[in-house]
Amino acid sequence: MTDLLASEAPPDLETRVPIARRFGSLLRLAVAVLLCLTPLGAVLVLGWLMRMMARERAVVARRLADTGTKWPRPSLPNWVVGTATQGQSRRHRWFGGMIENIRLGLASLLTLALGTFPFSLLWLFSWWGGWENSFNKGYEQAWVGPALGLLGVGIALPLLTRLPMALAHQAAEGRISAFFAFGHVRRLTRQVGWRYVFLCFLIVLSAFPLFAAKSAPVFVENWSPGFLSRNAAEVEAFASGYRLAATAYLLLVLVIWRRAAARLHARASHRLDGLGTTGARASWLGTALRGLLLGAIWFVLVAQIYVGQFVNHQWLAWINHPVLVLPWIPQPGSVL
Amino acid sequence: MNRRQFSRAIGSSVAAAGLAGLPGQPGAAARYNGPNVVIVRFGGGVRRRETIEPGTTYAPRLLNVLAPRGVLVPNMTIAQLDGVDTSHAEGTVNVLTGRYRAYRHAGTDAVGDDLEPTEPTLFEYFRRAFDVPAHQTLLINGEDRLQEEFLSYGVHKNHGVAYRSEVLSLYRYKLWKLRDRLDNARGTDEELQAAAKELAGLEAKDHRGAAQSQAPEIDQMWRRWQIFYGDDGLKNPRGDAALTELGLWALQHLRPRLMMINYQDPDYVHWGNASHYTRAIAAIDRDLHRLVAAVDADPEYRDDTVFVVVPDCGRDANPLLSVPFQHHFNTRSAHEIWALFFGPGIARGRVLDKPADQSSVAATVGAVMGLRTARAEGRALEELIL
Repeated sequence: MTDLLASEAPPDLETRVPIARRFGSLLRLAVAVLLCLTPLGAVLVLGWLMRMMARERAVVARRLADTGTKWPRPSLPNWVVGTATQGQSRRHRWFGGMIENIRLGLASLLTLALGTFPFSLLWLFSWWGGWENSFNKGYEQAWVGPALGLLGVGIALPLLTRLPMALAHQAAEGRISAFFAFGHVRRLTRQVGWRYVFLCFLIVLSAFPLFAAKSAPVFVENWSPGFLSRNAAEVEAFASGYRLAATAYLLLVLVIWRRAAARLHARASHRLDGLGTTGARASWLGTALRGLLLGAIWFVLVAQIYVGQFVNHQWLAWINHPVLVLPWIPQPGSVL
Repeated sequence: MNRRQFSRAIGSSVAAAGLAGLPGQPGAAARYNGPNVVIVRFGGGVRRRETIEPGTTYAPRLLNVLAPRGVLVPNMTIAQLDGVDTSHAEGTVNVLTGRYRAYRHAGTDAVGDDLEPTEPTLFEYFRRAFDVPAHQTLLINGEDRLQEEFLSYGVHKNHGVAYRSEVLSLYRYKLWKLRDRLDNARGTDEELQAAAKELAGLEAKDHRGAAQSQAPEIDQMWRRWQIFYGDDGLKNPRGDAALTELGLWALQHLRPRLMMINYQDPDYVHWGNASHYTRAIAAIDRDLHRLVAAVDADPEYRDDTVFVVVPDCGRDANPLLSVPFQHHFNTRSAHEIWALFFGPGIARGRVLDKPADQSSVAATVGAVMGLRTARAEGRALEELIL
């Protein structure tokens, strides 16, 4: 384990007053929501979430290793200041949190982009090229668009299946290459078999309200008669509020699933440590069943993306899935 | 045509309709001496902003060249009634019958979008009142709009298939081509088997057997089309340009008296490329101009042909969407359309500055042609008539 974990495990938790902690957490969440309103701010949130995962993972790992001690729940990381540990520079004490948010945010954005672009870019080009060809009636190459889209789906399912655990592993290890440790991530996933399936199910389930939030503006005149008679300022105010609410929900979902993934990672690592490097040999039937189920679960997310695009198309929505990649939802009506 | 002639035409059409014989016996009706009519559906679904509003239009010929030749009706709407859908086949039926909700699902598929009119179409009124052969009443459809193949006649008890229009579309051409190949056993056994299979697949989409055969004149045109463009379907114009080409061929070879061309390509905007919408509008604008030029260049059609240009529906103007061009959700903008009438007997250079309804198009066309569109709900826009 790297220094990251040591620095992210706050030593002063037990001395804090619970109500102050709660208030502090709420404040940090509120800052996170506001930061998610811009792409650059969302990168900081990515880093902050990685730090949160590392803390969560560290605490759970300690609990599992030392069941006799009652370890406190970790607080949410600071946005700006660093943790007050001996030997740290003044720069780190004052700005350590922000520096880590930037560093880990960029690292996380890189790995998430590399982990999702193989399919999301295919979807983007498939959609653009396919409909461009269809519009121009290019019968001769009509197969290209659908074939690229299906290829993207084929690539997406295994990559999405490993993504939560890979991200938790990156957060735990504090290095980019951990995200791409395919064999190790697979072994970790096996250790927490059905729990991991449940986590993926929750992620996909939690994405439904975001899918609904993306689709609902299409029907705005049905649920808000006369909406289109509003002036530009009123529409802008509505769009901003709508987006803020969707972003707050998104952040809540992210905090929950990222924490859950970190806990599963700690549990899986603990089991793996006790079993040697290869881990327990799971039954092939159980592994196959879980694989099929995970594929089906993630296919529901793919379907959400496609149906959402049919209903309310946004180019950016092909390559950024806020619940998985950059936690940024564009303003309704923006050209993106 | 002045108002007196207009009234006389209506009167004579009623008399003609009375002499028209029983359903299923066309041919006993009067000879038609009125103007030819070309209805252009500026579909599928366009907003006023990108078509008739100066400064934002992508149809400059429509606005600057054709509109001054007739009467622009900028404030036409599709009525806000329960069950009225702002969509393509629905809007086309509104135009053809002069009524809303005058359709039902064709065939047995209750959830499909293959609609057939339940009220008489303009084609049926026309052929019932006058002795006009089917091949001179034409519906020209896009090949990927199979559901519009069923709009050539309704199921009203006093009208119907006996007074149908013929349909020109690449779907019909494929049917003809495959039947011709099988009838003449052109190709190897394998090729003939493949043709039979393809034909069976295409025929299965024809729920009510409307495309079993076409008039000999249509068959002859398809023969010419085959000789000119070949068999593979890759050399003829595609998309809405194919409709224009079919329209031009029809003018040359079939001499239609009533023709409706159902353009569709702006509807590609559903899938996110806003440029498909604006490019398709520009393409229809060019093609409409080609059609008008062809009519103007033909001594028999020039000065004896009325054009009616009307969208099937509008599109949304939803500021909350990146691509605000849907049309299925009953928004105000999807109900907002327009119409342009020009040709002999129509006022020139005017804008009808009052509300009009899409259901008025059929009655107005009826008035121009001297037809009594008895089942149409909309009123004829007499203000347009000289």
